[in-house]
Amino acid sequence: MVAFITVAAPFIYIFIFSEFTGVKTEQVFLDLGTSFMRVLVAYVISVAAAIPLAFFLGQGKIGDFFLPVFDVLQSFPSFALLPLLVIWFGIGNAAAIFFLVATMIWPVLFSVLSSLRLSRKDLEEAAFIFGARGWKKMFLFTLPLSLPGLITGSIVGIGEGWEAIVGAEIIGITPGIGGFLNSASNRGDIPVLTFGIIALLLFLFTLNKLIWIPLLKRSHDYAHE
Amino acid sequence: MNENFAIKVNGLDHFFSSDDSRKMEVLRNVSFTVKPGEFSAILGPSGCGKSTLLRILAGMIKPAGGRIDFADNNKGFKNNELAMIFQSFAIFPWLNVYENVEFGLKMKNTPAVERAKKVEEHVKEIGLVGFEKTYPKDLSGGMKQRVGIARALAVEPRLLFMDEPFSSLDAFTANELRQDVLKIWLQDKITILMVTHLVDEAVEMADTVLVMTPRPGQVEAVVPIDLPRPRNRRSKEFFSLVDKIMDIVKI
Repeated sequence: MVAFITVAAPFIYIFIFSEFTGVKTEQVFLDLGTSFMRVLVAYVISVAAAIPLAFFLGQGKIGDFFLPVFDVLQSFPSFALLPLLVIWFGIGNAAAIFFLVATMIWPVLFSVLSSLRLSRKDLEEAAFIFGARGWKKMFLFTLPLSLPGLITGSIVGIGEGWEAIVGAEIIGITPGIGGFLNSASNRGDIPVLTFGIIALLLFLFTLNKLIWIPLLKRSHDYAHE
Repeated sequence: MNENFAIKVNGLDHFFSSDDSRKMEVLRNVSFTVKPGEFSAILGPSGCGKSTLLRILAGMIKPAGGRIDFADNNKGFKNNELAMIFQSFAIFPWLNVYENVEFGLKMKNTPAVERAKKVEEHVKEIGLVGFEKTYPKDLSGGMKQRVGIARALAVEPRLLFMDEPFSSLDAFTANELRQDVLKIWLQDKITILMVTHLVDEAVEMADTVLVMTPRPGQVEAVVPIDLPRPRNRRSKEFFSLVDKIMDIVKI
């Protein structure tokens, strides 16, 4: 029931307030959906790239070298890439997603890698003794070992992803919720702006409440003996 | 040809290289033999390299020099013959009790039906029935080590290494688990090599005690313990053996 209310809240809100503000309901869903899809696709790409890379770099001396490198890249302002990406891909989903991957991959990579690097040595020894090698080791040992790192990295990454996509859409990588807010701002339409901001807030709240907070809680249980 | 040994270690040397590239000698010319089915204890003060020695024998660390032979298999004991019990338990926090015990069998590709049978058998043997679905975070130290023991026994090893297996437990639990391990050893005839810093523990459990010197670790003496089992920790013979070993350690 609580879950249902949480899911329904942003939808109900959007239906009611689009009536009052005179904005087309479909438009809000379409713009919010566009931004969400961009973040989602970029997240999937980031994770798919980060996990094998982290597993590869997780071993031995290369990991010692790359961990601080990713920490720096994590704080690199990816907006610096946006003008170049617009020339390469034009304004649209491709540029947006590429830009988002460049933003989101680093926290995921850094976090997964550090959870592997800082893992308990005795667990590694136990895995070795009981014969964990190759693919089996990867799926039954390394992957579960890195899950808490993946979850924290995902929360940071997706947070940065939303920050970045709304910013990019306001600058002009339209459509999307950023574009929606920007055009309302250009018209000086404060009620619609307020409505849009709250819609986004509710939407993000729902995602966190339903997905990330439970996962984070699980991963704490899961990482500690 | 067929010499009677499970492990034969000859002239083992090892160094640690610290950050300033100075070499620290950890083990010097360590030689000993473990007989099949024997319970041996490696006894020594902290930092004498006894855990390192165990890890070298387990194939986790490559020694700087020396020779290790294993019975019938000069490549060493690999995943289907060797198991280990850890001081820190080292059970996997993301797996429940059942899945932890199952881990080694899964790695060995044991068929599912046989796997379930073996897990159930060892869960029962070590007293974990009713806890199969419990995760490590909800277990006491003693129960965690029971999981560690069941995981090791489930692969039915010919050789069992124990690295200070009872040192993280309270005295009462430690004693209970010692008796359980001894019972299982007497019935299964596994070759056991246990690292410990407790003289009483070594005398109570082992057939042979290898006494090691402080760093660099060398074998100072090999003391056979010929007391009848079950051993009485309060008997005169027990105390005289403990004293004898204490005297060697003090040197």
